[in-house]
This record gives sequence, C-alpha cells and structure tokens, in this order.
Amino acid sequence: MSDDRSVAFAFDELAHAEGVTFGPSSWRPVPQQQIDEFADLTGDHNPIHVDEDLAAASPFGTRIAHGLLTLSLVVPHLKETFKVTGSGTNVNYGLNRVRFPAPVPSGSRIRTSGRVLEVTDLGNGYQLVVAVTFEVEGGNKPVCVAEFVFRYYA
Amino acid sequence: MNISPFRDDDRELPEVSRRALSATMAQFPLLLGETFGPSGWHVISQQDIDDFAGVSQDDNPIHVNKEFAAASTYGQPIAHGLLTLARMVPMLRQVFSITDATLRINYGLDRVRFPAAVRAGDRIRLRGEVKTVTEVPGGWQAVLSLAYELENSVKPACVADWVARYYLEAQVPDSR
Repeated sequence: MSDDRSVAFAFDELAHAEGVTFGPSSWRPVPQQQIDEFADLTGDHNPIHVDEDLAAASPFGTRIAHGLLTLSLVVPHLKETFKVTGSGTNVNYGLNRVRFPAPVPSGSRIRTSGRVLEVTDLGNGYQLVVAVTFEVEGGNKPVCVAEFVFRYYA
Repeated sequence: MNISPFRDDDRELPEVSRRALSATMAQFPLLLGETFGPSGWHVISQQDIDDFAGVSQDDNPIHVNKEFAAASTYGQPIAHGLLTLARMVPMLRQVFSITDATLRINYGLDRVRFPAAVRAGDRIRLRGEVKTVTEVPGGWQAVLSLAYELENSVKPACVADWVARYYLEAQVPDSR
C-alpha cells in the first residue's frame, strides 16, 4: 500500500526501488529533553546543546540539537514513509556525504523526504543508497542532507 | 601546538605511542597531517544501546531483541552505527583539543562506514589524522579522518571523515 507520501516494498521489490521518492513525513518535534538525553548518552555536552544561557548568547540564540541526533531521527521518519516488509535483518552500513546547513532549534519540528539513488544486489540482500533531506518547520534551508547506505538481508 | 603522550588508567600501550594533540586557534594550520590517538578504551553497553534505541526510536530488533539477535549472523545484539559514531566526542576530547575555541560545530561527515559490528560490552577507541585544514569566515574547518578501533578485531568498528568547524569568537556567519 502506498499513498502520495509513503512507499512500501516487499523485500524482493527492493530490486526496483531505484529512483523512488518518498515523503515528506509528518512533522515531529525535537524537544530539549531528547537533546539532553542524547548529550548524556554520547558524552557530548557542548553548551550549545545543553546550556540555556550560553546558547541564548550564541549566534543561534537558543539551544540546538546535535547534528547526529537529527541524523539518528531518520528512523521514525522512515518508518512512516519508507517501509520494507519481509526482510530479515536490516542495518545501517554507512553514510556518504552528510551536511548540516542550518541548525535545529530546541523544541522545533522536523520532517524528512527522500529518494533512492542506487540499488545494488548483494546476492543475499540489497544495498540501497538513500538521499534524505531534513527540514525544520519555518526554515528556509535544509537542516540536514545525508546519503544513507542501508542493507536489507533476506 | 603541543603533542604529548596521552595518559589514562589503561597502560597496555607504551605512552610514547599515544598522541594527544592540542593547539590554539592561531596554531590551527600546523595541525595539517598530524595524527592523534589512540584514546582510552570506551565500553558500549547494552544499556547504552537500549538508551540510544529510546532516544532515536530505532528499535530494530538487531539492537534490542536478544533472541532475534542471537539467531542473526551477529549472534548477539549490536550497537547502532550512529551510537558508535556519536561516541566520538568523549574519546576525541582525550586526544584532540583546540584550547581556545569558544564554539565547535559538527559541520558534516564525508564517507562513513561500519566495517565491524560492535556487540554489547565491546570496547572501542579512537585514533585519527587531520586530513585538511581550511580557513572559514571567523574560524577554521578541519576534516578529521577517524578510525574507531574495536578490541580484538582487525577491522575497525567505524571509519569516518568528520568535518568540524572551530570558532574563536561566538560569531558564526549566517552562511554556515
């Protein structure tokens, strides 16, 4: 089942996924609590993420999400817009180019859209290079553009 | 620029083979080509993995379901690649620092791969090289080629080129 914003593939259909576009996903908030948890989990307590006063005096004017938190949130967004059924294991094999052109202010909402750039048959599965663009509500440039390399195994 | 042996409680390596780099913003160009690390060993626990699954909402069973993971090619739960990647900060702090930078920005990443899976309880450590140094308005950009070594593994857990920007004054140009 697909609508105009989400796509769904059975495992074998991934062979024909190249060029498919999907999204945008629904807006999802990035609350400060999530940023704080990410800081604790990664040990990245850069004040720009967690110190309200220092961040207020920074060029950003407020606390911002870690770029890698934004990147990690691809999963719930893809769950909504890019579904693969019938695969055994799927893994994040890597990333190609990633940039964070604009910050994600604490408490703002983001969404993603994407395109399958490349499909490779691995014999026991498929490797997909998926370009994902993250935007923030009210923003005029993307907050993240990333090429994910996903592997889906039978 | 200062190159000193990195010391921690783990003395298995001769100290001379561990390089902790520190420099001021004025010394930034001198960093080009320098290597740093390895950092101390750093454990990734199942609790870390579960917490990361909670924060990222990535509850792929290969990370959080013991039975599923046991039946997989990995034999037990493995860390999210992005968890491993994101652990760069505490490890990097041990072996690479710009002492007078007031703001550090993760500007992006170039090629990232996760050649070996990190199982719950495994230890990783970081080493790297300053691949490029570029002046940007108000600061410096460095591309750090990072290798996350995995204990008892020939293949690293992660290799990544990290694009970091360091600013002296809190003046990040709007054009970042």
